[in-house]
Amino acid sequence: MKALAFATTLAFSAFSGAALAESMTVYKSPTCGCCAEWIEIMEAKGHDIKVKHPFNLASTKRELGVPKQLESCHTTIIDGYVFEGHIPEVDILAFLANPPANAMGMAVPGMPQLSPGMAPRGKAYSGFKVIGFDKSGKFTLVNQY
Amino acid sequence: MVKSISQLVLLSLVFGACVMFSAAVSAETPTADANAGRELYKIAGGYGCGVCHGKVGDGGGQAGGRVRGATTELFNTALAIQPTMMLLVNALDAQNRADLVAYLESLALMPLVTMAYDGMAYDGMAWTIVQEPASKGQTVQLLVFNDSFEDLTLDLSAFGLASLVVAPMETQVVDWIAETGSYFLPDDSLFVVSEELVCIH
Repeated sequence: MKALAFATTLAFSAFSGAALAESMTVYKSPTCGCCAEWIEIMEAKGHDIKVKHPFNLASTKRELGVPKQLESCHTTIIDGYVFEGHIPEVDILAFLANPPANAMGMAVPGMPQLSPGMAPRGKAYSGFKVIGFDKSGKFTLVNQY
Repeated sequence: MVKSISQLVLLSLVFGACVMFSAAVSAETPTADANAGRELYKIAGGYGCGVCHGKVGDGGGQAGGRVRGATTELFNTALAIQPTMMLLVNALDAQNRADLVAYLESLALMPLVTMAYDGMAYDGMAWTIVQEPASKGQTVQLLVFNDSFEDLTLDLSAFGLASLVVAPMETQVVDWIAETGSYFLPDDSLFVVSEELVCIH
């Protein structure tokens, strides 16, 4: 069922990416270059991005509910869900199309070299996990590249 | 009166020049503080160096790689040519850079034993251990990464340490003063601490 929802999202995205465009708020440091790269990728897909540079990014992450051990550089809020780090767009769309019960969001911890915003443009994503986290603090594997 | 005003102006100029000279000298030769560097490592750029370089400069499998023992020259080169680092140029003054390098140099003096647990691997392959040679009296950093979605409890009694509980996806580092002997690691390999001083870098 989950796979069907994921496939449906992908197919829908392929035919009408603009219709799936999301409004995103990204919290990042002004000195973060790879965050800007990830934002560019998302904007190129048609998403509307609002960028915020909080004075204390670490405490902002705590307030937004990012688990400490899943931290990356930037935190994105979409429809009240939390997306931490360099998550591929396809995984975000699949999540939003069918948010798991009790879910808080997803994360790609750290700075994987071949993740969106880190990898050279056009290079296949590889070597990282997309991890879901819920309100009870439980983690689940969403995708692996 | 005129003379005294002139003397005052001259004195001010001399004092000002001294202050400027002193500031220039201190800007060129900051006194490095490894402890300040360790704290800065956690927060530099707003997200901290560890996101790209691992919790203790070990690399942590991230894009920035290992930086334990990085020199001032290497650090400044990265700030000059590495796209992600270049954005930090204005965020790190000479004192910050000296402190960070002092911290990274202090890390290089401590042998590192990295123990990564993969919860999805087969039992016999669950641990990936990388160890550096150590000798008696050195501070060894025992780094444990729990790459699973369950708490991990690691028995460190052989090292004379309390058991370590590592949360899912968490990395913890414990400093241990090495005693001569052989110690079993979680993958049943041996970590040997020699009597003689060994050079790790």
